[in-house]
Amino acid sequence: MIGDIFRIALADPMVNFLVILNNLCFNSFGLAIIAFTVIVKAATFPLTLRQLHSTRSMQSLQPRIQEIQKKYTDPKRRQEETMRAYKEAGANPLGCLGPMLIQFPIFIALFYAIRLVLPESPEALENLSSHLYGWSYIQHAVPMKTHFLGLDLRQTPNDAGFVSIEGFLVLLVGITTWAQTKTTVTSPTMDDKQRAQQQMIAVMMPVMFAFFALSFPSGVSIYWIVNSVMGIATNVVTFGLPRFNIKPLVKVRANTPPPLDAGHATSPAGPTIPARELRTANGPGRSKRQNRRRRP
Amino acid sequence: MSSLRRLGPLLALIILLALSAVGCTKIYNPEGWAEPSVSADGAYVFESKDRLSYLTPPTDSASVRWTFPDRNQKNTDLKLRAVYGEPLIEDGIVYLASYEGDVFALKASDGTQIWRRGNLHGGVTGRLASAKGVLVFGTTEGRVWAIDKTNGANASGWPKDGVKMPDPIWAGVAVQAETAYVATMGGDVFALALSDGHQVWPKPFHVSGAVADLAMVATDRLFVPSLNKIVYIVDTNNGQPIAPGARASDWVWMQPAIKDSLAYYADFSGNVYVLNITTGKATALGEVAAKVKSSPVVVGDVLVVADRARNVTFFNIKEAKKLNTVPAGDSGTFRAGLTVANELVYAVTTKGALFRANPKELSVVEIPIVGGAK
Repeated sequence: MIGDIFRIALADPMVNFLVILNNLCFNSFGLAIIAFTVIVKAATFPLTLRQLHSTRSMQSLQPRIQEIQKKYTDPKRRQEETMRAYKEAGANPLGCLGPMLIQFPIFIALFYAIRLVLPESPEALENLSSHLYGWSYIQHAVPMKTHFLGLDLRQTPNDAGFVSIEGFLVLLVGITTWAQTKTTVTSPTMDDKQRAQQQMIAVMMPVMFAFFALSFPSGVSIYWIVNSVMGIATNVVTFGLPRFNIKPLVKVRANTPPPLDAGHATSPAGPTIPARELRTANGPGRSKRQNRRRRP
Repeated sequence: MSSLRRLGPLLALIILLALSAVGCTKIYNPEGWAEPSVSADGAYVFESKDRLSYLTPPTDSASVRWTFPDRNQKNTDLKLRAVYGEPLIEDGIVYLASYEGDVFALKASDGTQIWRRGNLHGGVTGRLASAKGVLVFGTTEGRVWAIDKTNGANASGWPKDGVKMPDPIWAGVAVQAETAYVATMGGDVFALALSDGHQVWPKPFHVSGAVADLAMVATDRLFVPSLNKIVYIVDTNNGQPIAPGARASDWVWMQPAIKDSLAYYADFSGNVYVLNITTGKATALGEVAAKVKSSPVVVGDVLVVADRARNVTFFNIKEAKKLNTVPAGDSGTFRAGLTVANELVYAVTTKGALFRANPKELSVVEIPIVGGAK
């Protein structure tokens, strides 16, 4: 059942889309994968933008979060106030998961699609027939060319050996993932624990993905590398590279959080005044439409 | 409510993991689809994808005489991986080509290896063709080879690295007189001189879609099925089709059965067609329950078709009428072509089960293999 849903809703459309891209990209399946990556990145850009908003908002919230941490000793209360601050600023700590969650099934479906579209055995080609739509434009393209820039797009570095172009891709997967993690903005007000966690992620992610890439067909690694390079570009354009004195090219709006005392006329013991009452205009992180919905 | 909200992302992650697990599982490893070769002396059957068994003549049962590679011999470097072309038996020698990329010559009497030829640049997925003392075949990396039947060395006059083609070759090579016909997965059909491998036609015959099988169906007539659902009859004198291609509903990937200038074949949607070899025109004959990859056969006036759902269907070709459909067990599926011996039809499944179909009685029985792999 789940397998059928996966096949009909995701894998088969992807297989056929890749074949069409292959035809449009001069019968080069490698170029088709790159074009596919660009299209997916463009399609998920609204989500990425939301993530960037969220990151910026989180960043601007840090002073207030630290203030809350200092002010409240009760962990439960501290958590409540922190969450409230996030909510009012329109920041979602899990906001960065959106693009990742979208990427995940696409990535898996691509893995599946590449194994289907570039069959490694006659049986696999025979099986491909049941995944292709009946249009002649698609059917005549089969089988695809399996090589791109000296790479066998089907082969995994495990099969090809480490001293091979496919093996070099593993390195590129690691480097681009690392570079993407490093260019993702981090808050300057992070405490040491958070900074240590961030540094661990920055090391673990590339290592983990490079390890996975050992078992990926090189076509999947190409997707990952191109995706990471585009992610790096987005990060640089949005956040700049402070270390190299590169300023952001575009400004992403961050919601300005109200100061703790103004936004929350609260005391550890006293009653909480609803933040809504203290908001001006639409309120932080809220549109006119959202406010209209709240009105009776 | 808030706990549900907290669980939301976790649930989403679990579902995605499940989806990914489903997505990653099905991988089609080579299984081979070599059809059996049956005679009054015995039967050559692939009971498993990488082992050839020579059986006693199949009656109510069949016993294994020998296997290649020898199943009693451990620590052998022999690895066939899978075999797609039926074994070729000539002058007491069995010739065999593997997906691993080797060609073997074996003594038919006891299965002893006479010679082995490797370094072929790719695996072999088509039949071996035999002519003028050489074996001709193509490889998945797009090389055409002609090798000496006596020792496996390159045939004299042929390039030492074989003839390089622009695309992989999955189809068996068809041979007529002095010429070998080779089809590529890029949709080209080449005519090569058996003497030295040079191209005979001024340019290859090109079709839209891959050509995964090829067969001589009459003198100067080549059956060219394209994976773009079109079947052509090509005049080998000039490399041109005798008529516009005959359209099928789905892929055609098989050798046709021939009777009285008519070619019978089926497609991956289970439609069965009859193609006039003289005119190149095709008509529908009927349909079967599932995809058909296995090459059909004609015995008398009965066409026998085995489909991927393990059904064997009998058609009367004179009356274009379906006679009977018999389910054939539950072991594997039919991808290997059917073969005829003594007016009986033999089929082997991907799990190595051997079946005999009787076109007169419209029946199918499994032939147990005594001392076999199972």
